[in-house]
Amino acid sequence: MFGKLAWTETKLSIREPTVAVFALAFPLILLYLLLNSFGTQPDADFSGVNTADYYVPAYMAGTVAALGLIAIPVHLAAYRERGVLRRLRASGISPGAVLVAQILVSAQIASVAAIVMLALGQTSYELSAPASWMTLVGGMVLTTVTFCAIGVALSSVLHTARAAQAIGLLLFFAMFFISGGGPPKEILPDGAALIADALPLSYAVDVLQQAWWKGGWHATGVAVQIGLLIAAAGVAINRLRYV
Amino acid sequence: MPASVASGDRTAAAAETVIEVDGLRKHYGSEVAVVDVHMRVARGEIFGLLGPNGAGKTTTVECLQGLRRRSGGRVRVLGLDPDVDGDRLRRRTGAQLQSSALPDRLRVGEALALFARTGREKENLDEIATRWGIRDLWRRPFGTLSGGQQKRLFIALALLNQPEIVFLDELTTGLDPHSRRTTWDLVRRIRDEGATVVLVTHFMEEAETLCDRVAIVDRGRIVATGRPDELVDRTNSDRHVTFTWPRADLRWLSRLPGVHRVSHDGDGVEVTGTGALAVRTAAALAHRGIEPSDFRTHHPSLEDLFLELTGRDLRS
Repeated sequence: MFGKLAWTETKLSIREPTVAVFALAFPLILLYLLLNSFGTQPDADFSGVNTADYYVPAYMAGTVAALGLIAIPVHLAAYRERGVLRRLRASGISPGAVLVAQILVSAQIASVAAIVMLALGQTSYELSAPASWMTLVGGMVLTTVTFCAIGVALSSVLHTARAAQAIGLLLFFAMFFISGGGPPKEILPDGAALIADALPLSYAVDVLQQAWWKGGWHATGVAVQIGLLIAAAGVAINRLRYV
Repeated sequence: MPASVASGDRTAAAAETVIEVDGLRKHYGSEVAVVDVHMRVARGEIFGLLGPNGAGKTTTVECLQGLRRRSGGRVRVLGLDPDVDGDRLRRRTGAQLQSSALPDRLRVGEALALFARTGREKENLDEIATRWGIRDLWRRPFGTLSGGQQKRLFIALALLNQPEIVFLDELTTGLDPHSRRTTWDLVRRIRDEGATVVLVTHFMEEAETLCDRVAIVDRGRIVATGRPDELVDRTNSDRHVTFTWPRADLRWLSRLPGVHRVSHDGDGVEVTGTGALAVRTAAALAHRGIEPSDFRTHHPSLEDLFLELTGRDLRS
């Protein structure tokens, strides 16, 4: 039953791919440009690693953020607005199951993005292998669940797909360029660095970069994300019981 | 009316109450949608909730299904409290909701397969799709279906689990008159196969022709409940008979029981009165060899009753 729902949602995301394509293509194109602009030598401005090692984990987190902050809220808000969730619920398919199916779809897209970035980096830009695959995959799972939960919480307070799209894009771009998708933290002005510390995506980037470079868990990054996950899930569960 | 006689027998034979509502209240913030609704629905009947838009009909049936949490009152549907046992209840009910949709790119067959949960429901898929005329639309995306096709798909989805109670909310809104009549036949079939139907509508004609019993809803309250013919009998409005019969003085008709007034307008005659006015007038005319070809009867309708009870027009 749940499997069928997840499979149906996957098929629908392929048939209506615009948002997913944006979440996939935007970070990939930008990553490609950055990797071509900077050299492949380790650089003090990039925490002492090379450009690919710096940006690939950051952009993996960025893709997840695009899915969580844009794709999920737009999709769910549209479902709510058009009465799809109520329709499903009246027939015994709970909104919770729809949310989880949607998170699985995002995880699939994020996995595709991660594999493409990994392949691109390793074949052409001297990307080193992650220090710990386990921590990297674990970090990706945590990041995906956290950002999807934030997306679900957003969709629960935004009542139309248009609002979800506007707010989602704004949040995404603000986070993306300050939290690691733009200039590295080392060269951010002080004010921007302070803002970066307040943005959830910075902590996701910390977790993935640490997994890649050193192999251990970034304790603060993990703790902040778990806190966010709990808060977002609380909001979502509280607001989505009746749709 | 044979249909209502049959349904009268049915409710007498199986008077089991499947829906009990006492003092149902629902407010959204400070806005009160349902003030105080009391109703009983017996197994096997088509029960209509008739009222203008915004009267609280949809909110009421959504509370009955546990899709909205009520603010107060007691509700039992199939013996279950929808706010407590919503999931269990919804396994035994079916619903076509007002203003609900499926994803545009979801195909008809996929929707049916997604909603069919048990093995038995899956076996029924083909038969239900054929019966409701959507078998040929199997691969069509939801977004490309016409209004009538979407309604048929929703009914099929609502009936997949062979529900004991089916909630149909504004089923024929937006359909052309022909599709509307076809849909009415389908609703009767649902009832004839044993399900109880709760029908929400703002069409007076739909409630009159389709429902075994009707509750008239206004501003969050039920203002009258009964068989459509009983409800119409409650109106103070007169019945009228009109026909054309040239050059005749028919004032003697006013001596018939129930006739209040006979008026001539050129060759046109109008007889006004109550009760079995039409039959008596027709019989008396035929007896004297007066057989007008345009003999018409004008009955008061639920609309007149609504107007009398609320002081407002049902269509407003």
